[in-house]
Amino acid sequence: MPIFSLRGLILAIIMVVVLTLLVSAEFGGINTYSTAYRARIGLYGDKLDSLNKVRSWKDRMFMRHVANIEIPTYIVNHMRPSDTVLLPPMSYGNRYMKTNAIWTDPRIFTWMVGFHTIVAWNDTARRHSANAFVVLNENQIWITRHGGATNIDSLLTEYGKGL
Amino acid sequence: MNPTLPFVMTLILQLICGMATIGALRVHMQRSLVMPVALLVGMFLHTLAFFVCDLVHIPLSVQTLLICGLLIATVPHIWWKSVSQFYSQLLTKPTWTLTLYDVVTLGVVGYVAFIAVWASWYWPVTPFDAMAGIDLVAKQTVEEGTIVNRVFTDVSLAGQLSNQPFYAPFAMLLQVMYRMIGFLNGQIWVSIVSICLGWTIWILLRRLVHPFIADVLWVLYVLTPEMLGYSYIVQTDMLNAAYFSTAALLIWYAVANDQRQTLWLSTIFLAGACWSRSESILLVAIGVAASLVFIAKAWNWKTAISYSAITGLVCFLVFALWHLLFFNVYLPVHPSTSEQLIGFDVGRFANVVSETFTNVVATTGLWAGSFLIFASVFVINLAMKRSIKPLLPLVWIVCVFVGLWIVGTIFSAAIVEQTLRRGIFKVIPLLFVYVAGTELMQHASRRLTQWEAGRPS
Repeated sequence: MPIFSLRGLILAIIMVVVLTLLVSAEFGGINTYSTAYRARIGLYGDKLDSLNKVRSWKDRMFMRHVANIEIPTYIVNHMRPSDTVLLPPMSYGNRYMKTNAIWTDPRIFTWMVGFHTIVAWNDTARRHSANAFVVLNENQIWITRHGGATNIDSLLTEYGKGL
Repeated sequence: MNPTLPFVMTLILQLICGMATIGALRVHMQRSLVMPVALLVGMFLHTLAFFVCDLVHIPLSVQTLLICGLLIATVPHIWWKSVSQFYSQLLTKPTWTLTLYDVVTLGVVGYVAFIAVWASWYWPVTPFDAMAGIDLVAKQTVEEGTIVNRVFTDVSLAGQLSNQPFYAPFAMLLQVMYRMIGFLNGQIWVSIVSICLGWTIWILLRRLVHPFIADVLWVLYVLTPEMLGYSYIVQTDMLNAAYFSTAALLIWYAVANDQRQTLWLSTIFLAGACWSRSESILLVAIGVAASLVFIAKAWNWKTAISYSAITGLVCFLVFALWHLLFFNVYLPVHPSTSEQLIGFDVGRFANVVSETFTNVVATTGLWAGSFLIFASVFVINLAMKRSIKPLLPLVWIVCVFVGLWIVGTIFSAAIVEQTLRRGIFKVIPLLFVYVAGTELMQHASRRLTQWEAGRPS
């Protein structure tokens, strides 16, 4: 095959047309190659410079995981040495988050912030050992303990709703 | 730690290991195919050696990683005569030239590959399964220097592990290696594997059809939405697809080109598939059994039976190393696999088959035109050429589906829209190679070659 020929040039032009149509012509959403390319490659290509300016590992984690990293980080930063935190069920977290509250899974919690004294909601054998509880509302998060302002029984009832 | 030096050293050692293994097996391989295939072989053998270190209680560290790499790169050189012959073939003058449309295609695919490498380097791990499983184990392994770590013993995770941390260990070990090398997210190996697979597919397509047709099919493969997404997202499935589909294609390559030695290379790839996704052992069994007739026809039944016996044994050993030996002797906790076995039920099987087509195969958002192109070419080829050849890739496509349907039927944890969807990754490369191998495409290829050369048809 010659490196350059007129017919080779025609094929190269056809290839350019084919590639352009594949990656940029959506045809009203029918061309899923284009939508996939834009979402998975084009988007990053466009934002490469601005994304590369975010050099901090923590910032990149936050950009990807948002509240799912923010909440566990808050919890471990506000835990006392004697605390055993009860992770609420995912349904409780979902009520206050736009994405799935996967941080309520102890494996994800551990992946995000390492090992801490936590108890999963579905760990019925150890649930009674929890002495610190996570409270969420629209824009706030705090840890409550026995004797605090929040009624723990009501909170646990709240946890159990929608399961 | 700056990852550059250990990263480059690891890649070079894996490449040498792979090339020497191919040489030691006396495989005759097109030079342009050697690099991606050798790197995949090296990656697999490296993780295997690294895992054995953990089995014999050698702490896992960058030093262990590099010493393992050195070891696996050295051992195949014992068969120096074969290896040196192979090396000398690699050093002959290249004859391959690129055409203008190749340059255009390579430009686009190269850009996609660049973004994939960047994204796998830049972003943290995001899939739930990876964070709850392979990467959770990997992160703690880096901390403690052993896979038998706190993930499996800490009271906060007791009874909470589910299946994910027990997935076949290939991806987890690569995460450990790349995290130890110094990559904060580890997952850069995902893009390396997908580039190797893409490169392999391109070379095989070019062997089959006119480069222009090969380039178009290759771009369609690369831009397949699910393959594109998982070229930088860490999961076990792209890795599994790379080993499984390459193995299937190597078997076809061996049979079609009368290269018995290539069969043994396919054994390594099938073992790699079993090292990356647990259910592959079943798919390998079905695929190898279905290939017996083809191998016997190409050579004889003795070769076919010895191939299937050795491949079966190697794959089982690799499978058993993790699922039997490691689980039962090393790990303090075990997955609840037996509880998820729900037995075979015809109704459920029919349901899984139907859901596979309606919820997965027919979803163009996942595969774009891949299945449509395959089905169209299959039907037109059958109607016009009265042929469904090439049979071997087709047989492996069917085997993967049958195997996945069985898995989806007998395992409660296997969800069609998740497990089977990602299991189908390994079919996609086979679809495109099958399309290229059909008589219809061969005819189009001949016509295009004549036209480009300016010869009357």
